[in-house]
Amino acid sequence: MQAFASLTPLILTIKLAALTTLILLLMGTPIAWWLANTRFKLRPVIETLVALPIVLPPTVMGFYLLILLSPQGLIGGWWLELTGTTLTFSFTGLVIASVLYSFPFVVQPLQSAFEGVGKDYMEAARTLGASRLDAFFSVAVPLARRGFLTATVLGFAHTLGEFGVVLMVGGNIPGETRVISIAIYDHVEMLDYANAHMLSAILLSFAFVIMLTMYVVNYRDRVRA
Amino acid sequence: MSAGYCNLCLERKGFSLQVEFEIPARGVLGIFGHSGSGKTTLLRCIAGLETDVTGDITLNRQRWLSAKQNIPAHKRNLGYVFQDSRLFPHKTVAKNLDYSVHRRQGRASEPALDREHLLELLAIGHLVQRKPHQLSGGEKQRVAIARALLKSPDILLMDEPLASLDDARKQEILPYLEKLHDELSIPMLYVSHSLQEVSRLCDYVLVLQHGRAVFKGDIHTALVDARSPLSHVRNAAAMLEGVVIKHDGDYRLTTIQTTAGNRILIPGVYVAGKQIRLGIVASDVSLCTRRPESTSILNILEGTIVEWADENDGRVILQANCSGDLILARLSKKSFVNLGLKTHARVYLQIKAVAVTR
Repeated sequence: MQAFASLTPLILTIKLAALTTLILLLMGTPIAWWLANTRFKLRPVIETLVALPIVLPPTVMGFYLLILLSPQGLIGGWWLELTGTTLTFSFTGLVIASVLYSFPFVVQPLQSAFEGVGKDYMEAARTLGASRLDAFFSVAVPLARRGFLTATVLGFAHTLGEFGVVLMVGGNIPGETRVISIAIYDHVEMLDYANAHMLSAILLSFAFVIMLTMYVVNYRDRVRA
Repeated sequence: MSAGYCNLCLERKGFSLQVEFEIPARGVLGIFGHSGSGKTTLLRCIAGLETDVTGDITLNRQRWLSAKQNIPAHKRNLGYVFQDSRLFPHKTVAKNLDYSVHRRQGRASEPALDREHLLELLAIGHLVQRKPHQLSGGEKQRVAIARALLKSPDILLMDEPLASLDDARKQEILPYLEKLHDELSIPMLYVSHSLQEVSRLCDYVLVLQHGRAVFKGDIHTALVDARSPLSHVRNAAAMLEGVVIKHDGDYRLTTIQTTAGNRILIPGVYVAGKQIRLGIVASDVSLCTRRPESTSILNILEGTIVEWADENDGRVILQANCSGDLILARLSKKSFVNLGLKTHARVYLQIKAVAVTR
């Protein structure tokens, strides 16, 4: 029973990472496409905003998110009115925070993959009778498939390892916001090295396996193409 | 008879395009010009790939561009062959061809050429299972042409389809393009900066310079008219069309009768009845005022000088009309003056070499 309970953070983490990655792919794809193709003057500003989470200490992001998401904050207050629940210290709040935190890890690989696709094939598709949307799905997406794989893996893996932002926004509520990295921290604090070992080893092997899969698949794809 | 009309206007930083022309109902309209003259931009405007163009494009009574609308590229029923084939690298040849078949619009029941025939015509049937990276440059271009035609377009636009190939590959593809020229019933626009390609393939020519059409006309006139830039290039040549009458096996010579009725001997053996295009380079033609008697030159045509132009480098280029065939000759200014040549003068043209361009 004890062993089962200690797996709850793992399941929660995977749920969080999967949901975050899914949202990021849906949101990030149009943004990445736009960034790859626009001649908008403020593009560097937007690219900077997208890249910020890479360099910001998670606690700084977490701090601002805490303020925004709290019941007195802009988003948190609106959410409270809308649903009657708070965003801070809840799973939903954690998803929002993770989406922002992992944003660049999904958008950047997609953007560079789309830039690699270029305009030429898209134009050819258009002259063959494909609408922009049709050309996007039939030409750009398959040509950018390595970018999608990288974005998915990085988005997922990066969310798995998040700690600072979760601590600030989500706290440590078992089954709700107590993700694996927080759980490990807790176990160590309580000198429960056995459980800390187990969860760490799981996270380590998991991270290794998915990154390895990504590199192998990308390598095979490159050799084949 | 024309199939359509184009009047295009496009302004860019340091470049402006302003061209008006008719699209022939059939045959190949060559768009000739040096790099930077706006040929490719013109083609892209017709295809709907440039959005900031204004003017008028009408093809088969369909309005593609007007003051009110700019129909998007995918709704214009045209085929486009790019300089670099742009075959989708993630799809096999067969899937590349399917791509356009599946997006065929309108009269899907009557393709310009059916698939089997097209594969045979372009000799790509054996390639269908390959991926584009397994094809040679020439094969890629042939597949790209097939892909563009499988859409059953109302017009085929080709943007220097041979420019990215080496000379040997060019010679390999030209016959396929000539076959298309003979078989296709839709108009083609062929962008090129090669005099050889234009004189082999085109029926009409539009010469572009700095975004303006400086000459428009049929291919014969475009090659020899003094106002056409094509008559002043280094390898300027007239083109005659004719049919093979007979060949002489002993001397390995073939007699061609041109459309104007002149008979011309060419080296080599050709099948009687074959339609042929002959290129006669201006510098291979010499002039006499009296019929030369003992000469090694086999082809001597009688004609009158239509016009001449001083090229200001000690040479004169002149156009002679030999009972309907227009021939270009280039000679030194000194000879021109010594012979007392002028417009309407009667001359005998000695043709040193005739190249069969087709």
